Amino acid sequence: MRAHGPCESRAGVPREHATTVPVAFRERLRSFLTIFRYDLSAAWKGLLAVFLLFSVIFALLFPLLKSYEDNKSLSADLNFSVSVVDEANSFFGELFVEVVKDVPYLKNVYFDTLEQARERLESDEIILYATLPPDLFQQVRSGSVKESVQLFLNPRKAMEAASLAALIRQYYFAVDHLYSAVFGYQREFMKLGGDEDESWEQTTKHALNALSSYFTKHRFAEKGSNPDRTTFFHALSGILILLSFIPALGVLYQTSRLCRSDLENRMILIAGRIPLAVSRILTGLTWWLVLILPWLIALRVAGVLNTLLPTTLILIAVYLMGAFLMLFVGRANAATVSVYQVGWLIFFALLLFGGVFYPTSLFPSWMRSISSFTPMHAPLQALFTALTQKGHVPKGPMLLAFWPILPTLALAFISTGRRRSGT
Amino acid sequence: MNEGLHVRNLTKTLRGTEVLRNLSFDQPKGSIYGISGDNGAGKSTLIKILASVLVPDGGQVSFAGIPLSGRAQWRSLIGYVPQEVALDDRLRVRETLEFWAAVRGMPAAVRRQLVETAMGDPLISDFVNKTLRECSGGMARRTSLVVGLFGDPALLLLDEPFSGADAHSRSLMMERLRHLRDRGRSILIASHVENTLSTLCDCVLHLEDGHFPAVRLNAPVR
Repeated sequence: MRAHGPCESRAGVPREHATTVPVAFRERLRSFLTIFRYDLSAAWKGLLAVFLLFSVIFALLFPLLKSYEDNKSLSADLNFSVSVVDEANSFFGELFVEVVKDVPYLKNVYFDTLEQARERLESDEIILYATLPPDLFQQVRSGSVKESVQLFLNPRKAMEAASLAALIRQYYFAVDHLYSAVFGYQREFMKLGGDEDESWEQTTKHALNALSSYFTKHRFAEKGSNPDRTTFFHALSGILILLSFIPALGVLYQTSRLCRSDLENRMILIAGRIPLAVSRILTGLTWWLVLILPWLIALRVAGVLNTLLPTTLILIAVYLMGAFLMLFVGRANAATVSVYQVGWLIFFALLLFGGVFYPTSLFPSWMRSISSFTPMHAPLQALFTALTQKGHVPKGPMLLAFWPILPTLALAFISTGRRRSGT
Repeated sequence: MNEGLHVRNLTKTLRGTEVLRNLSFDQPKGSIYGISGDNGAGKSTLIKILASVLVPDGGQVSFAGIPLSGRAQWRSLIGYVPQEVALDDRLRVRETLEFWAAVRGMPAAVRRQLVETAMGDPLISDFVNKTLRECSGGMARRTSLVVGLFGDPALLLLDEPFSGADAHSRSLMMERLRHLRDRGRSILIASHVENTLSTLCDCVLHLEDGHFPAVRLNAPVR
């Protein structure tokens, strides 16, 4: 078992004494790849199991992801029937029914009496009915609203009602804005010799037609603050951040398990400290790929993301930050159980203050201030932006997502490079 | 004597206790020295310091003119067999040898040759296809020794190498260590089993309260 040639290049060591430790770049690379393969071999069954599990999950979840981006499916989701109650049988009510009847996600628009509308609501035939005050048209003309339009939502269809309420809120501002805009048109009509009543009718019709053209565009509904969509993307951001961080706990396990063991000593004496740490990081990165890549591909295919790069970079940043942090924690001079507990505690604290469990905007102000300085906050915000903006993230938030890497890398480097002074 | 191991005024304190106190000794090239002592006497600490696993608080150590402080050079001189078997028990003995040869950066051809040679080694030839999990304590110890001998180190540091080994395993291991000594290798063994050390070593240093109050010379050191 005599040493082979390259070991003899160790400067200063007599040729006959030199033993085989990796010195040349190729030897170091070979040594590192052996350690990496060894670390990976311990995990391959788990990796395969997770990959298969995720394949099944995505086969089941894909239609849901797809529906969030598919216009036709959105129309199918937003498929309402409503009633308009205009007891005075005014011009406004008839006109409203006429202009909105072609809106794709309004299945039926009924022009009912109050009694009929109530019956339809009771039998769940409609989600909403609106009662127009008898003198609504006069009120609009005078600009003095005494009695407003009353909306009655179906309490048994809470989700649909919430979606419709969000749309109505948008349309309210749109109607208000449009009506102000066409006011000038009514005055011009009169100046040109038109009848005042007719001018109001024309103005109103013009305003509602313009509004109808907005109603028929799905973009209008999609771009708004649909609560379901916001919740969905927040939850998705949280899941992706969580899955990105989990491999870092594997780094903690591997580091803590071997820390100060004779097996680690043996490896360090031959290969050095850095290859061991890098191997753990890369093994974690392999886990990251298995956990995250299927999600990214599914989101890309479903059309939620047009580009994968910013999202991928943010999630890699989250993993690296976690892995570096856990390399540091894993080398703590404490019992393995205590090290795990501290690692998990840090993990949950970062998730909580990062807003993964609960949006930070809903935190008390003092907590919001603290959370904005925690390492998971900026990546979560950037990731949420990426998901809502088809994968695009402005440079500022993107760079901010990377800030935790440097301090955690410094911690990892210090703890990994430090030689032991105690047992 | 310049080529041997020289330890001067080595000091180490662990958790407020002075484990090694101005420890000094010289070991000539081509000798087997034993470190005996009760549990907690500081044997393992001494071996770990010499293996560059632990950092000493003070003192100088050199071997063949290379100081311990020159870590990279020092590590290329030594072979370390730790107190625990410190091998993956899922691997077969043959795979274990391949793995540690690869960790040392040996190319595939050299590794194959080395493993083929090791397969004929009486220390492990009987159980090369067994996993370490299936091996007895003595077999695992013998495998650990063979791994420590990879690269033919000039200074071999052994921490309780016979722990858990039966008489046959002990005899095979001692035979190998004597053979290495005859080839000019220096071997330092820490063990609490004084009988074995007396039989094997040229000199036994008894460690007590962090220093050597007694030295027993078994045979003239060459």
